[in-house]
Amino acid sequence: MITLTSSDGVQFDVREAVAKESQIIRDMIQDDCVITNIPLANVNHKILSIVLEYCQMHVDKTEMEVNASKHQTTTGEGSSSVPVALKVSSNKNLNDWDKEFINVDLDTLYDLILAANYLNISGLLNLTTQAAADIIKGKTTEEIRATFNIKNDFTPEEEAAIRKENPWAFE
Amino acid sequence: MKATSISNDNNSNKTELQDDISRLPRDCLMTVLKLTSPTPKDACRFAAVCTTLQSVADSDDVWESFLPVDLSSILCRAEIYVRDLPVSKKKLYLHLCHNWISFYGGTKERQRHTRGFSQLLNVSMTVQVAMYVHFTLWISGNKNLRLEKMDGGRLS
Repeated sequence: MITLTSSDGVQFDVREAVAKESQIIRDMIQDDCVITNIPLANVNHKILSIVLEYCQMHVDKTEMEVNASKHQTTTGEGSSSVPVALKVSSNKNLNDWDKEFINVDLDTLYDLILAANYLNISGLLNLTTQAAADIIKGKTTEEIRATFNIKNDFTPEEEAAIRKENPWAFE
Repeated sequence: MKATSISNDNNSNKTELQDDISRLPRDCLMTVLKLTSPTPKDACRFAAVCTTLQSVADSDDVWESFLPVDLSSILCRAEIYVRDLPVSKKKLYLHLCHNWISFYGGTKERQRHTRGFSQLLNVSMTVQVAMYVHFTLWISGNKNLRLEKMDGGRLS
């Protein structure tokens, strides 16, 4: 087990495999194999618990698949259709789980992107940045401002010039 | 909060801007924009949101992702001087959208391919059409699309 300590001092005991979903932690553990407590200065306990939920789920799913395919090998049944079917359904479940998992408010989404970026968890970073991209997709400039609570700091002339540059994008 | 007054020398204000999405690092924002769509339409709209996001949305890193991955090998076969192309990826993308490029076909005789559109189509039509499709998918309805004749192997 490894203890991860959030920026606000809350400790989380997790299996090494779960912690190693983070590339930065993986590197730390490789460099120093007796490391047991890792302070994470940039992630508070609220976000860290969500991040660890993601890591736990993905590790569990991967291990389930590995065990299933091992079982298949040891029982020696020739057909490969079973593990493939299992894998497909498992991936589908995981995708559904991810979709549900990422259904969070914008503030949490930003924090998750920051945490995934800091901890270098590629799967979580892909998931969270894609979620942010999906929110932007198809929105007008005004809708983006309203959604993300962004103040327009262009002068009317500057904004008109930007729109004129690529009018097709604003139709 | 974002400063409301704008002047040319407010760079110090800009660095203090803390809009919600602006607190994401530049790298993350660029990743988000690259994931919006295969076309730069969302990036263009994003650029008009505010000055901070404009610099992200107009970056080479973002616009490079909208260009074909094998662009340099395509341009190698084109009748075009690469040094004449815009350096900025955004400008390059838009340049390629608004200008036809002809390609060397099975022959190196440049003059054969520089006499107008009918001959351009005979030369390497597949590549040309592929480029056309790629770059016009997202500007369908754009009346500014031009078919340019070649002049001495250069884009005029």
